Amino acid sequence: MIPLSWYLTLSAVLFTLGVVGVITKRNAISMFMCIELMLNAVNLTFVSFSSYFGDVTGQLFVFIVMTVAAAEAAVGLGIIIAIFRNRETLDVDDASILKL
Amino acid sequence: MVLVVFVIMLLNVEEEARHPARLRYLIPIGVLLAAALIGEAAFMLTLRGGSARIDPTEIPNSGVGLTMSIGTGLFTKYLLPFEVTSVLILMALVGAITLARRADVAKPQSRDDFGTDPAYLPATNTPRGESIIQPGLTAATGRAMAEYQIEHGEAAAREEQGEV
Repeated sequence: MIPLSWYLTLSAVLFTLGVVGVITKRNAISMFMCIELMLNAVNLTFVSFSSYFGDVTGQLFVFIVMTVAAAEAAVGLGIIIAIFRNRETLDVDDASILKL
Repeated sequence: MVLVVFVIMLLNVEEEARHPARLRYLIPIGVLLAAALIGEAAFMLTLRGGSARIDPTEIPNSGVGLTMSIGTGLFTKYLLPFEVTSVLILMALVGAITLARRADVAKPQSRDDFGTDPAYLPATNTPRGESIIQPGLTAATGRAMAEYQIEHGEAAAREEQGEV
């Protein structure tokens, strides 16, 4: 069997990649995908602990996290489309004010 | 993720421009923090959880991974988060449609609002692809054809071109 720590290490690596991407990337879609990566890293942790403890709660929370991620994706991509339509760019530095 | 791909195709994104100096100093800091986070996780795992193993055979009849257990939990103990999620989805749906909609779609448009956009101009009598300008036509013969066409009409101009 694969030890739990391997799953947790992979999850930590994925989460860290997501954090580094959000910090360093300036493209809105790239940052968006990095946020998705962080969410999925947390999902992996949930599922690992759920399997480890024999408790189904973790999988239920993965359900809910996935739903929130889908809602976030819809709204975020709508915002990205609106920004691109107004500014013709995806660089977040060009969208540093709240006004469209 | 499918949505992301759709948006990338929709937006016609170009190659990411590299900013030479802006926020460059954040990259080493980010890498440093990442290394710290990884080190922290590795430390905790080797210290505490190194011997922990996932073994489903140790937990018989727990119901983990079964659809029934997930459904039972979702509709009994975690019913409130489930219902709140449905409201969240509805709000996200409305918000996404509102954001991605064109600003002028909601307003009623008259026919004059289209202006001089050629896509909305009334169709001319000449169908597309049947222009009298043909490949291999020089400027001189084109001018001659145009003059001929003014005098004798378009059908005659086509005949003349066929003879030439």
